[in-house]
Amino acid sequence: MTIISEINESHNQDESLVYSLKQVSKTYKLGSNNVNALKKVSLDIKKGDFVSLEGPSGSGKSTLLQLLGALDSPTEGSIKFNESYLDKATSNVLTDIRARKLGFIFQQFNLIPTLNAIENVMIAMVPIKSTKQFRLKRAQELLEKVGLGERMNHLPSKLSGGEQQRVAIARALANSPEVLIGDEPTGNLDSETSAQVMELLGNLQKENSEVTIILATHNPEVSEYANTKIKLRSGQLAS
Amino acid sequence: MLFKYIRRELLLRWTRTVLTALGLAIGVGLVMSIMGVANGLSNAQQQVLSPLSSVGTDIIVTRTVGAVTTDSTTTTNPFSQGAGGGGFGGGGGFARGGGGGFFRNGGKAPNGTSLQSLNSTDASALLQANSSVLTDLAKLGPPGTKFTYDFFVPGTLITFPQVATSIVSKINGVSQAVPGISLQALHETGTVPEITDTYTTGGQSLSVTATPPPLTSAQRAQLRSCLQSQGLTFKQFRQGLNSGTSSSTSPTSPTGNSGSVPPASSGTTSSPSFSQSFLNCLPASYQQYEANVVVPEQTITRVLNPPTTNTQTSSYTVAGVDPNNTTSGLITTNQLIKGTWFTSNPTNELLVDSAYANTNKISLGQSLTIDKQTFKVVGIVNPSLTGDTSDLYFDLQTLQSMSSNSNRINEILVKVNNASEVNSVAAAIKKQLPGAQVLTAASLADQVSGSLSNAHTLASTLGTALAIIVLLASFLITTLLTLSSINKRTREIGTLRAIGWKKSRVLLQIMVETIGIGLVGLILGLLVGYGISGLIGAVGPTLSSTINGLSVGASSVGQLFHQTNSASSTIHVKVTAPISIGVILVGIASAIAGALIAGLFGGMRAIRLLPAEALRDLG
Repeated sequence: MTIISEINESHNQDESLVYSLKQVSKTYKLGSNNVNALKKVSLDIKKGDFVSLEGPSGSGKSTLLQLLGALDSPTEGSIKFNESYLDKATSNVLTDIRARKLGFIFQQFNLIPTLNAIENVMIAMVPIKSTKQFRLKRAQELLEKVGLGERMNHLPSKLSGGEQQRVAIARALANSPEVLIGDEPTGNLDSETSAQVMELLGNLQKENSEVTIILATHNPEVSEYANTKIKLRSGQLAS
Repeated sequence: MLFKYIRRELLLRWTRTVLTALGLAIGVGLVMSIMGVANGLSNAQQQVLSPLSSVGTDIIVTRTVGAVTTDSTTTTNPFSQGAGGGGFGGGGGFARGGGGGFFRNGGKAPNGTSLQSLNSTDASALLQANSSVLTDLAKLGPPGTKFTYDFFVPGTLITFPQVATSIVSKINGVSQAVPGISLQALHETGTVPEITDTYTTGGQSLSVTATPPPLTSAQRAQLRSCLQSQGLTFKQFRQGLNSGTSSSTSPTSPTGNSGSVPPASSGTTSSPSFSQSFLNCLPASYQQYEANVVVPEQTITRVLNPPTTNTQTSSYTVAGVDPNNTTSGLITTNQLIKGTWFTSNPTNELLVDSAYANTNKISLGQSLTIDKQTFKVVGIVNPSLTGDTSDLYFDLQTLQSMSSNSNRINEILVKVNNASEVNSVAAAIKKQLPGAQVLTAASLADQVSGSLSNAHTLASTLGTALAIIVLLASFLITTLLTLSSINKRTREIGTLRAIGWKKSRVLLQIMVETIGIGLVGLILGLLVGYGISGLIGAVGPTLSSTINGLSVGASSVGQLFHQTNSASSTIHVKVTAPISIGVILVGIASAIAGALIAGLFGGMRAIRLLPAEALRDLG
């Protein structure tokens, strides 16, 4: 099951853990003030888990997601991702981890507006050394998988919100990541489309139980898909 | 993938691409235009200056009055001591003179103090050399005679012996020295007028008082004996004299009977007879008085109105060239645009300047009568020795004899072996031919003035500054537009970073994108540049350039006839802005530099964006 707990030394050695955070704090400087976005948060996330990050605005939800996504480094504490410590890693190492191990899904979809669906998927494979043919094939497979086999050559502006998000999911899956990180992935979608997207993510996990999914959300329907719910309040875990 | 992405970025965001490219294009185009104008002015100046090299000449040697420092102590006729000897005195009628100092010491440098002005020898030589144009109407024939004359005068370029050419050709470094003569020709036609003057003399009234000399003793004795022979005694004579004076009877001659003896009776009655006798006895010189009268001398000055003449004067310029030298000289075969060069018998052949031919409707093969000789136009030329072009080109010897300048020239065109030797050769010529004016391309450049020179200076100084400012402004605009574009793409770039794009790849992406925009800017810039260049060529102003001191022949004599008003040559050049390879290269370099600068700033901005930006909710 899930582990939302105080420090449990034994878990650090557990190979089934994908993340292990210890006493993680993140302080932003806002003018002359220090804003403590995260205050000594410790938690573990098990491999293959479906985690929802919940909490009101300013609870530190986004900060935690950024730290888990290797997009930022903590001010204090350690973040162990597989065998790597993200808090000690250089920018280039973090970039490499993001490219190979992590997949991102955004609230605004964040597709490159000038590239069509298949190109948006392929662009994620740019950092990984591979042939063009492989990328093309892989992108086609992924788009077919998310149900966009017919719309591969459409620009994002010609796609609906749900379709765009499915392209984004295909892009996130391009390099077979270990972790899928989503920031309000259904925030801009109607409930029907949201359901489709969540079903898609659920199916992915069924296909590959090794994939960990971490979604920050306000949406109770989304959190229902989660096995584990992490609730944050004022930069601290709220159980 | 990268290029597809870049292409899509450029094509799909075409407004941004075009806008940014335009910022660069205007800069590039303006810089090209400014450079083009500078080039155009440079070319124009080249056009003015290049004549020296374009006719295979590096140095022109002349003897221009007042143009050089001359020796004030020069008093002798310099040409009688000319290098290589005399024999130049002939040539009927053409007054011989010479510039002070030139050849004075047979090629040695003049000693003595220098005078920074035209000396009197120069002045008189100039006047003498040009004196043949002063037409004496009285010598042209009886009134009513129609006359046509061509006078050839050297103007400001005094002639000198042709042997100077061989002196110059022996100077180290000289590859060739070609003689030439440039003259001003004056063509006069008209009818000899009748010169009449009417005046009246006489009517003067003269009053003369003369005192006869007293009687000599011989005359007195003769008178006495004559009176005695008439029967009169001296006593009676004295009485007679007394009665004669008291009786107031004038001694008018009464009768002709001189032989009758008057009666010696009463005095009063004997008077007429006595007087007659007395008169008869006077010496002949008293009977008929003579005297030389000198009328007082007086000078009468009358104003004679000169006769109205129909004399028409036109001027043109002529040059004599060595027909055997086709590559160097006042005119070369390169400048022949129609017809042929002089044949082996060039005496009656002419080459005509194309502009002069056009103006005067002279065609190839036409016969022209000049100074009573007939010449055939064998070729039309386009002379490029600016400031020293002539309307008609004769065989050197022909013109020398026509202008009474046998074996005399007034120009030597020198070609040197090596361009670097121009200055040393010029110095050697000055040393060998004291007083010579040695003209090189460099010294010619110093003499160029006028709007062309000013514009060229302006273009090269202000133009450079302007080009730099324009370019910097253009770079700034391009950079700002690129930065603005990067800021708008914050989420996109954050996403790229989030999905694992390295900073270097993002930088490369932005740089190559901006270079792509730069290429578009370059193409637009070339269009702008060519457009402005074409516009300048179409409506460009005409600038003038004045070259002092090179004006040949015309100046001084021209001034006498009010034909030209300055001793300089003014050339009008239309301003163009030619786009040369160099200008294009600068345009390309500017566009690339602008793109690199903008790309670098944009790229640096992009990689400073945090990947976490991808997560920021901008909505």
